Amino acid sequence: MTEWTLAQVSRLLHEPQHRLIYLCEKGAVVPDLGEARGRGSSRGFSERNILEFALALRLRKLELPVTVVAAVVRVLRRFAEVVRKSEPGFDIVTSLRGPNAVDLRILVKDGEQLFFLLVFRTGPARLFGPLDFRKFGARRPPSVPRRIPELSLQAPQEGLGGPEGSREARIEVSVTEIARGLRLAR
Amino acid sequence: MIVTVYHRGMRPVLRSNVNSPDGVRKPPSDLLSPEVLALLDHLAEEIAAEYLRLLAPETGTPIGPVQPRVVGGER
Repeated sequence: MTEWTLAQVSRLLHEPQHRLIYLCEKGAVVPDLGEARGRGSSRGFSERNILEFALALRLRKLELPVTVVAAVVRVLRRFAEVVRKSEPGFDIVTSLRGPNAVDLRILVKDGEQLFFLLVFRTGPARLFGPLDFRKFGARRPPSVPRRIPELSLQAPQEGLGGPEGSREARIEVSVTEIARGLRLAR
Repeated sequence: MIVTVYHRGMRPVLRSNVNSPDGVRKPPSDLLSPEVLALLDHLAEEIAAEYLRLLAPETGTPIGPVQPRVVGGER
């Protein structure tokens, strides 16, 4: 696995190092190849980390709270781990950059609810959610059902519509396009 | 919190709250509660299962208009 330093990631993404460090300190991005342990030590990042940084920075520029960013990155990371258990050669960055890649998107409905959308080239799209991210940072988060109930999808009567049924505002970010846009050559 | 560390015969060193005085970096903040993390992991596993199912070569999903289907979520 190719290792990237903080300085290299900073140059690649054209972002100052302190913004990347902030995401690490908050636990939104966990370095795959070594966490800093103290003065003089350094973090080591994988290409998956670079995708996580690029996605996190995009979401931050859209003014989404860092808790939501951390949640999105957590889902992405866990998704890749589960797929890799079945397909040991799976690499999320390589997969999303491929010619027939699934389009994985993040949707935010009316500034309150988080969805994930999988768009396949040759089949129906799949919508996952919602997650009410107003509850993420609560001091005492509400109890969360272990089994997520299935929701019925109704055609929106008014508002912006979309598969998630946004009424007044929606944010849509393509993780696939972010992965494709990475210039990973050094 | 700012901690000032004095070494004999040397200039005082200011340490911010990023690092503790012994030089050990603070652990990342716990932004998300264990309950929320469990929910996120569960959602990720559902997405992965659907991804694997639909990308399986034997699936043979028809080519046609994208018709979203809600698979799961928190009500």
